[in-house]
Amino acid sequence: MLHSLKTFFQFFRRDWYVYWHRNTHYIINYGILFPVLFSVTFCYIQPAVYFGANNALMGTTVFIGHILIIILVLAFNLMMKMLFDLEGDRYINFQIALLSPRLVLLERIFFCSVFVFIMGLPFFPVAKLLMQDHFVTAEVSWPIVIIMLYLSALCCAAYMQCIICVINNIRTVRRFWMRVNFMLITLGGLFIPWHIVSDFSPTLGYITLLNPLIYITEGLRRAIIGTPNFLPVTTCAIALVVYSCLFIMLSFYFFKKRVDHI
Amino acid sequence: MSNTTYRHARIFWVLLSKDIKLLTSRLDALFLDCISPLITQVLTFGYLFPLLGMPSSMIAPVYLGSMMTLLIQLGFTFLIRVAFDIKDTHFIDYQNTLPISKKWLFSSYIVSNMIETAIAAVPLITAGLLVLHNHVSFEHTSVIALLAIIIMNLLFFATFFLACAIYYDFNWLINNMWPRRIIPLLSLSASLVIWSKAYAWSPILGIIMLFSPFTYAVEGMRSSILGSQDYLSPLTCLGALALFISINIIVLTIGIRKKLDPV
Repeated sequence: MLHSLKTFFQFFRRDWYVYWHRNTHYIINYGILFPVLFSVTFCYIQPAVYFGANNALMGTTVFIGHILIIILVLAFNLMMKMLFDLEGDRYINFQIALLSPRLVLLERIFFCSVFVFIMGLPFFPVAKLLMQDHFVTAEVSWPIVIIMLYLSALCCAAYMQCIICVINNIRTVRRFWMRVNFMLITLGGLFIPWHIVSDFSPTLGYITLLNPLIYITEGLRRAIIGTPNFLPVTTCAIALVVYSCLFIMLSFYFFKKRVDHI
Repeated sequence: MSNTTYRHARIFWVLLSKDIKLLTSRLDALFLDCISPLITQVLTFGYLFPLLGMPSSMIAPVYLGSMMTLLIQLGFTFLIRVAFDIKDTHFIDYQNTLPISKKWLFSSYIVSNMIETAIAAVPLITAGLLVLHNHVSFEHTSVIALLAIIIMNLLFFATFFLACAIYYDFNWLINNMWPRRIIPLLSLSASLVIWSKAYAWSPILGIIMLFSPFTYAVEGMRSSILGSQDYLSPLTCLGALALFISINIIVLTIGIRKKLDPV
């Protein structure tokens, strides 16, 4: 047990060493470029053009949803290496010879969630610095934002791990993004909060509740804006933990199917 | 037509026929790929944003702008295909040995991508406009301007993504293409807002938006379909797109020389 745990953290250290050496471009892309561009577009220009001046609350609502893109794209980017590995060098074969396959997958999810969480941390503070009053944070609870951010990163890492275990080859990636992810992201509260979808069509509202991404945007909106028309943070946190466990179980299953030829 | 030109044109046609044959075999999959973004965009910009307070007069122009993301997705797929081929499959090396000049060879890539994007996107964008018919007026549609804008848009996207696929390394593209090229060009463009309104709100950002080719791609579509004075004129958009296409071709030429010319 102790030996497994030691190997688990050695793998974590190895991943950390590899990715931290490329940290400059990750920080530039995810810590600076995305928050700056998204805050200018969705917190400043879009609300003014769509809803008229003095509509900071709308801008904030729309902007918060865009963290989905950072979390999902970065989680996918990190997990994509596993897909390349499964099709190429199969370094993972070496890893599962040293550690139980389940722990190898758990290590990857854990590393991915920590890395995505760290890269996602500057998103809201950078936007606040840049947008000032256009980004409404009067009711914000930063500790809850941080907890929600980590749970979001964990859920997306587990989701991506599961998808990578399901996808057969690199060519299927485009199909997966266009057919599945695009819909999940857009109906996962990227622009529109859940209560508007539910007002438009209660059936669609209930269907949308099956989308794990809706709990990320709703939880973060509730934690930052604080108004009760978003889903409660506790509900979102529980849903994200449940979905994370589900995706982890599914990735165990699909990974076993993929590497176990017996 | 000289003998050499005739030979090049013949091989060009064979390459194009091969691509079209491949395209017809995966047409249903391509449509399925595009239907999901279409449904979500129509729903989001046609029905949900008005509930959030967006005026209904903005539905048609904003929907047209949102369709840029579909064109970008299709273009990015093309980019990955070409970049992966250069990195791994090396089918391009075989094509390089064909008795055809590079100009003709890469023209076949561009035309093939234009056909693929047109077949996938144009019917679906039109279907979306028909779904939103209550908010779209075709009274001022200029068919000639629209055709010209569509062709220039297709040409722009094909040259842009091909140039990037050849100019940059595969790993750079995977890690940086979205955050450093596509997102800045898309965010700082008029794709999700109307340029004149953005300019009225912030003249500096309005001017910055004029440096993004996506602004002309989308404003050209808006002005040729909706025909209002609120948008940049089709002629301005065509001129600007021609300029950006020339830049893409220059980058493409440099990329070909850098990566595919062993001499």
